[in-house]
Amino acid sequence: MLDPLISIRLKGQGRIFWPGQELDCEYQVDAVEQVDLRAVEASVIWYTEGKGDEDLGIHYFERRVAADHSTGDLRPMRHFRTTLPRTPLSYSGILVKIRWCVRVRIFLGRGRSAFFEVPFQLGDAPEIHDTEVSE
Amino acid sequence: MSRWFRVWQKKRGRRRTGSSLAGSVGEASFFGLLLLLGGIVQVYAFIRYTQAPSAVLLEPPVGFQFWLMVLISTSFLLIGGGGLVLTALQTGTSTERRAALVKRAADIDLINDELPSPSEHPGVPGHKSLNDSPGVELQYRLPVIQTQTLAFLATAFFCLVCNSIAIGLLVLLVREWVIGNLQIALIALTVFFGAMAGWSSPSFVRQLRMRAGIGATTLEISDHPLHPGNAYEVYLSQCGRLHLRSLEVLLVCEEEVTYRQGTDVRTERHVVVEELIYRGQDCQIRRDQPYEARCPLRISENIMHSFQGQHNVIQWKLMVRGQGTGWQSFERGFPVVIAPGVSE
Repeated sequence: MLDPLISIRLKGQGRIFWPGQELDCEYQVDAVEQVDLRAVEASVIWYTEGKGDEDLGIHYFERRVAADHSTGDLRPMRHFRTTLPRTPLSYSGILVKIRWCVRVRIFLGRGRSAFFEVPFQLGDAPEIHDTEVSE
Repeated sequence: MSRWFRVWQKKRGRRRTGSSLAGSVGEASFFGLLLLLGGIVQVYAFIRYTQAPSAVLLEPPVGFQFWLMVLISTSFLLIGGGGLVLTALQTGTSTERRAALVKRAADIDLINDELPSPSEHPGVPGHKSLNDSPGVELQYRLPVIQTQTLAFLATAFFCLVCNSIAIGLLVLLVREWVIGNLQIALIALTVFFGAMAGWSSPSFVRQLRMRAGIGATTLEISDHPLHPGNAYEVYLSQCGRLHLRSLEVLLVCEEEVTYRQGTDVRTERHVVVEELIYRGQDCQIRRDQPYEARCPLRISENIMHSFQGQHNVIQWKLMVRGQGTGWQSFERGFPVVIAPGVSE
């Protein structure tokens, strides 16, 4: 049995976005039977990485359920756009890292689920490699 | 995911090494069993009560034992039922969906429409509490981070306890010596607590002198919150009676994380940016004449803003660092919020 295939495409000039800029995104689900695909969730989120426990914030969220859809088919290409917030900016520190991504999660029959995400950068906060001391 | 089911496995905070589905099933089974046990105990208690010879309106012989069983079984029912519902909700819902529900609930502002929307600068801590005090020289007086008060109280308590025990033991030792009944264990205990008292007392005296000698530090700022690319003015006033080799004001950025390790919650901090904005040398501070200085503060364009998550924090602060001799050295932090500009 093949794993479901989730593809996400961010429109625009690459993976760096600015606060207030519009994020234009398309996603599609393949290699899965129509009846097996129960729900699809697409979200634009930030989350932390590093030594601390994970914090997660949601900026955009949509959930589509097969029963609510006219054709009952959630596989075709879906498009959404959202204006990115001012904060939190992407950040790469020593103990804390803040990442942004578009995540698509699918729910299949028998309680199975899968997700795929495409990271992007919000803003241009500097990367920290060690303590910066300046006078 | 591991190939074989392991009975014992290491749990790293919220990250588990085993299958999350197996974990959820285990959790649901536990709460289900608790619910079942509560139900059985409660039914058993009531059956025994109805079969009692004088079962009229819960009067004796229904006593302490009956009510204890009802109390315990009810708590089992509540914990089991609640846990089962919570597990079922969490199993069928993704992290993103739960976060979206929380955000939607937080966005409903039924209490006060005048409050700023939290979605304007998500993740940036509020600055209202820092702007409470108007300054004398500049617009705002910044509050100080109280980190040393608890340490001082703990040192004072420890020193007091050690000295009290040492003195009590010494009196007892002298009395025993007078009556000629000297015990080795008593001598050892007296020496031990005497050493502890001798070790803790200088530290307490040092902290006491520090608190008495180093007066209040006041830091005022021309505007707040701070925005990248803007310039501000900072006013420093240091009271007390001391002589410092140097007195510095620094802009510091500190990362702070909390994480669970087993059942412990640990906190770790790391300074990632330290920028000197003022240094005064050979500062003589007298009771009647505090040391005063003004200095410019420029916030760089390319800088990370303040961030406040549940477990992760990026905190900016102005740090006053005095370097003298012996106890006359200190550090005091004044939190500030750096937020992106609103007129972009």
